[in-house]
Amino acid sequence: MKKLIGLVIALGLFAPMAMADNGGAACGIGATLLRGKSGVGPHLSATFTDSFVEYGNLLSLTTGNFKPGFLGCDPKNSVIQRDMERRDFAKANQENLSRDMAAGQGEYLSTFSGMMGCSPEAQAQFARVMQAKYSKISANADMVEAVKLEMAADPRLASACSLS
Amino acid sequence: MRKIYLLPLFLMAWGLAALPALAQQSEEPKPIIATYVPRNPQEGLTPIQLERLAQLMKKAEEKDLWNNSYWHTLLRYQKGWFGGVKSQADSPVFFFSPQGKTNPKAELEANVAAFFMDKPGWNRMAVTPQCAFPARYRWLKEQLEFNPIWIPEQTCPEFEYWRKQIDIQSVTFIYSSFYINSPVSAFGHTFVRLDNKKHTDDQRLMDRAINFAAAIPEEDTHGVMWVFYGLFGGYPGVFSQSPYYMKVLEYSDSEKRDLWEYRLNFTQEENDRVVAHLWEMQWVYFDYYFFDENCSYHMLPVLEAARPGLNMRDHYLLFTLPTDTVRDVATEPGLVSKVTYRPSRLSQMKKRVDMVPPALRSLADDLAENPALYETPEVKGLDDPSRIAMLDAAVERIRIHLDVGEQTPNTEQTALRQKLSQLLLFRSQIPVASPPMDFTPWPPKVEEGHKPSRLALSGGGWEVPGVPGIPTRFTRVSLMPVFQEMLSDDRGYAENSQVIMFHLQGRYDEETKQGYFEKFDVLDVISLVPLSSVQKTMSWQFSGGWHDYVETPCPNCLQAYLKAGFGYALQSHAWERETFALMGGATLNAGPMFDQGRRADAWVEGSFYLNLAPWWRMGFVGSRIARGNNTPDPMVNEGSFRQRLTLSQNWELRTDVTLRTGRQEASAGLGWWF
Repeated sequence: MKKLIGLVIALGLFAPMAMADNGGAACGIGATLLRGKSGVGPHLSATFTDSFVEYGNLLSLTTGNFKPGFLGCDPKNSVIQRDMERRDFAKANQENLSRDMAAGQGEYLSTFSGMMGCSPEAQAQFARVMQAKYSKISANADMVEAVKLEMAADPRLASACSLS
Repeated sequence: MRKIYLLPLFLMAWGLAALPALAQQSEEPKPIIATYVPRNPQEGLTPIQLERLAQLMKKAEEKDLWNNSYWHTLLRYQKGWFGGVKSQADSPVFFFSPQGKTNPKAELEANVAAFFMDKPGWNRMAVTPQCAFPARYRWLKEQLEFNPIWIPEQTCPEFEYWRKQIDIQSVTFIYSSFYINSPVSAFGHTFVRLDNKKHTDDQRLMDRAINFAAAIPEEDTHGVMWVFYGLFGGYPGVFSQSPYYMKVLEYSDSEKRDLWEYRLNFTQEENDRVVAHLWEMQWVYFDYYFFDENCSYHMLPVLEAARPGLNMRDHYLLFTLPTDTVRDVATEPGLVSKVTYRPSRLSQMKKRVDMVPPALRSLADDLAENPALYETPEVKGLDDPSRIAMLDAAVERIRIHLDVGEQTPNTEQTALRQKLSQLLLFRSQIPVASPPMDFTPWPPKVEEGHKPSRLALSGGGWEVPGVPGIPTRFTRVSLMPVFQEMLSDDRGYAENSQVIMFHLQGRYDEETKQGYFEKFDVLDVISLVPLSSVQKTMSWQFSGGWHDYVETPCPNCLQAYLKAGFGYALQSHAWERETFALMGGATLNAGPMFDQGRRADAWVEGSFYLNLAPWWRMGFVGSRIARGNNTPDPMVNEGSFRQRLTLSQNWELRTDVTLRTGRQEASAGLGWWF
C-alpha cells in the first residue's frame, strides 16, 4: 500500500533522472529505463520518466548553458538505439509481453513484432512462433536474444522481419 | 479555546508547521533559473537590424498582433483579475523581454528581435532563439512575412531530430479515470499522446506520451509539505515525455484505472504546430496548483496551439477538473475523430472471468490458487476453448495481485510469480490464440455523466422529536461545486463512491421567517469497495466541516466536526445493483453546546444502497452512536432514507428522510448539475 501511495505521488518526480550525457549509450525514448538507476526503487514514474526539462539544466543549474532537455541521443547509432528500445520495452513490459506470448495474441505482442522489424503481415506468424517457443523464450534470462534466436530459426520470420 | 472550531483546517495548520523546513531550504545556493533576468535582445542587434525590427513592428501594430489570442496561447497569457494580462509561465528563460511576463507587446518585439540572431547563447540557451521557440518563430514569420534576407531561416538539428523521432500522425488526448483510494487522483488525470506514423493502431504502446506534473523533490513525496505545496503552488510543474507504455503501466496496470483515448481531428499542419509548441515547453515551468493550474489545465493550451481560434481555457475560473476538460474536448465540435477504451488490468480480469463458462468458473478460481490442478483429468478432459478461457482467467486473477514494476519481490510475490509462470507455460501449450476481449458496450464515458457541480433546491418540514406541534416547513438551497454524491447517477464516475468538497447549504424556516446557515462540508468522501475474490480492499469514509444540526437547543450555534471510519462492503446484482456496507469509526465534535467545547463519539454504521434501475437509486443509512463526555443516555440511533431519480443527464429528483437526535425532517427537491 505504501508503495502504491508513493507511486501515485511520484507523478513526475524530481528524482535523479535523465541526467545521462548526450550521445553514447543513453539513447532514445525511455533511455533511462531501468538502466542502472540507483536509489529510486521500483517507482515507475521515477525510474522511467524521460523528462523534457532536464532538471540538471533548468531547475538546478548554477553554471553553463540551458540545453534542450530532451535528446539524450546520438542519431548516428540508430541500430544500437533500436535494440535498446526493444530491450527497454521487453524489460518494462515483461509481464504483459509474456502473457501475450503465451496467449498467442495481444497488443504487447503486435507492438513487439513491429519493434523486431516484422511487417504487419508477418504478425500472425510471429505470434504463432512466440507461443510455440514460449517455454524456451521464458526460460532465457535475455528475452530479446531468445526471441531473435527463434526468429532466425523460423524461415518465414527470417525473411519477413528485418532486425537491423 | 475557540481555536478548536478550526479543526477541519488542520491541513493548513500542518503546512504552516512545515514552514521552518522551507526557510532551511532557502539557505542552499539558488539555481540561476530562479534569479535569472533575461536581457533585452535588442541590445544584440546592429543598427540596420534595429531599423528592420522597427519596420516589422509597424506591421505588427497594424495587425494588432500582440493582442492576438494565438500569441496569448503560445506565451500562456491569461487575463488578470484586475485587468491586464499575465503569463502563467514562471521560468525567466521562457521570455525574451524582461517585461515579458506581463507585457505581450514587449515580448513580441523581443521575440522578433531574437529571431534575427544566428548564434546560440542568448539567455544562456544552447540553441538559437529560432530553434528554441519554433512555434513562435513560424507564427510570427507567417504573420509578419519575414524577409528571408533580413531574417534567414536557420536549420535546427536538435529540433528536427526530435520531430523526426516523433514523426507525428495524430494527437490523442488521454483521460485516466478515477483512483478513489488515492484522494489526489480521485479527479482523474489527463495527458496527450503523439501518435507515430510508423506505428499501426495496435502498436500505440510505443508512441510518446507528454505529461504535465509537479516536480516533487523525492524527500517530500510522503510528507506534509507535499499536500501544502501541491495545493498552494510551491512546486514547479513541468512537461515530461515517456513512452506511452510507461503511462499504461502506471495507470492501467499498477493503479488499475481505465484509460480513454480521444483521437483529435487535427490536420498535419495542426499536428506539426503541437510538436513545435511542445518543444517550447522544455524551457518552462509553472507553479503547480492542485485545483486550477494542474495537469489538465496545462494540456488545454497544447490543443489551442494546434488550432488558432480554438479556445478551451476561458471557462475555468476556480477549479479545473480533469473530467471537465475531457467533457469539453469530447463535446467541442469537430475536435475528436475517434474514441478508444483501454481497460485497466482490473477490467481485463473481470472480462476474462466473464468469458469462462459459468459452470467452470469456480474451477478456474481454483486453478489460480493451484496451477497443478490443470494436469488433473477433470481439466485435461475439457475442450480447448474451455481450457483457454479458464487459463486466461486464472492468469488475470494472479496478475491483479502482482506489484507492478517491483524488482525485488517478497516471498508472497515470488510465489504468485511462480504460479503465473506455470499457468503461462500451460497456456502456451494450446497452440490457439486466445479470443480478444470484447468490451461492447463500453462503460460510460465521462461526457455521458452529469456535470461536476450541483445546485439543489428542496422543501420539506422538520421537528424536534418528542416536542408536540406541527413540523416547521422549510426551503433549502445547497451548492456542491465538487463533484459526486453517493446517490447521484454514477455514469462516467466511480461506482459506490462519493467525493464532495466545499458543500454549502442554507435553509429558510417558514415558522421563524429566518434564513439559517446549515452546513459547510470542506470534505466528505466515501469509498465503498465491495469485497470479492479478487479485491479485499477496505471501505472508508472521511468528512469534516461545520453544521447546525445540534442536539440541544442552541440558536445559531455551529458545530465543527471531523468524522472518519473504516469497514467492509459487499455487493450483489439481484436487481440492478445492491451494495451493503458496515463501518465503524469516530467523530470529533466541537462547539459551544458541548461541555468544555468538545465531544468525541464512537459509532457503527450500516448502509444499504439499492439501484432499482439505472435512473432510480435508494440509500438507507443507520447508525448507532456512543456519545462521549459522560452525556446522559449516551447511546442513540440515527438514520436516513434517501432516493434519487434521474430526470436527464444533468437533472435529478431527490427525496430525503433523516432522523437525527434533536431533529427529524423530510424533504424533496430538484438538483441541477452544471
